[in-house]
Amino acid sequence: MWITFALLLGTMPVAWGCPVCSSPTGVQVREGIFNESFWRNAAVTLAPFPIFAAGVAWIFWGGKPRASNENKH
Amino acid sequence: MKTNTEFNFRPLIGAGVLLGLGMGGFFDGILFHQLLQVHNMLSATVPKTSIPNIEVNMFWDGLFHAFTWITTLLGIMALWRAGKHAEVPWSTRTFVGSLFVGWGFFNFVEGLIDHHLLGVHHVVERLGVSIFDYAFLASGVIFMLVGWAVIRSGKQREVEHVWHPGMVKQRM
Repeated sequence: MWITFALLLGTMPVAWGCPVCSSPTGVQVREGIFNESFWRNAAVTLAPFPIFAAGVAWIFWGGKPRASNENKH
Repeated sequence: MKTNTEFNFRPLIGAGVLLGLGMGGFFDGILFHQLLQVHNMLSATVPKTSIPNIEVNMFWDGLFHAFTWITTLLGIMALWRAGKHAEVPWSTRTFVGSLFVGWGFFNFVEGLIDHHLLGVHHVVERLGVSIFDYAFLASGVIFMLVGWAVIRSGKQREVEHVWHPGMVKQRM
């Protein structure tokens, strides 16, 4: 897998602008991601997920457990 | 044969909501970010005016989708576990309703936080805050209400027609 990854990196055209590309555009992309705003952007991107988790946790473990019905025979 | 069994819908609802959250996230990402390309994760603060900016947005889209994928995986695991418990009725209506609740929850929370509170992107970026942002919030509320109604109807119905995957194991 690492050999494949290394081959991919080595054969990428200079003009490509991906985060792992060794090109002027790639450098700009990396600088645009890994800069002083990195942690702020990460927090902003993932901000909804703690609320999702809280909602799901409430469904599984919150409130009073209620029996919906009894199956009587 | 069951007698005086208490049904527990929570595991099935929880699993459905998790899967609805994940599927809702993927629907948003595939339709708005990739097919229509009307916005990306940080397109309001990092405008897509250059190749590097487009790539930067794609990175943060990827992080968001990684967590959406994890949410979906947790939903699959929760659903599998729910199927192993005899007290959890295998109710189609409850499950489908839960999917809609999860999807609606995604739309409402993500829309409120990202489109309105943080302003990191909008549904149609070139319009800024628009009717589409409010429609997105409304879709979340509507999906949750519809899902809740379907869950309630499922609970009423499944009282008489209870089945779950564990029953096959019992008969064997």
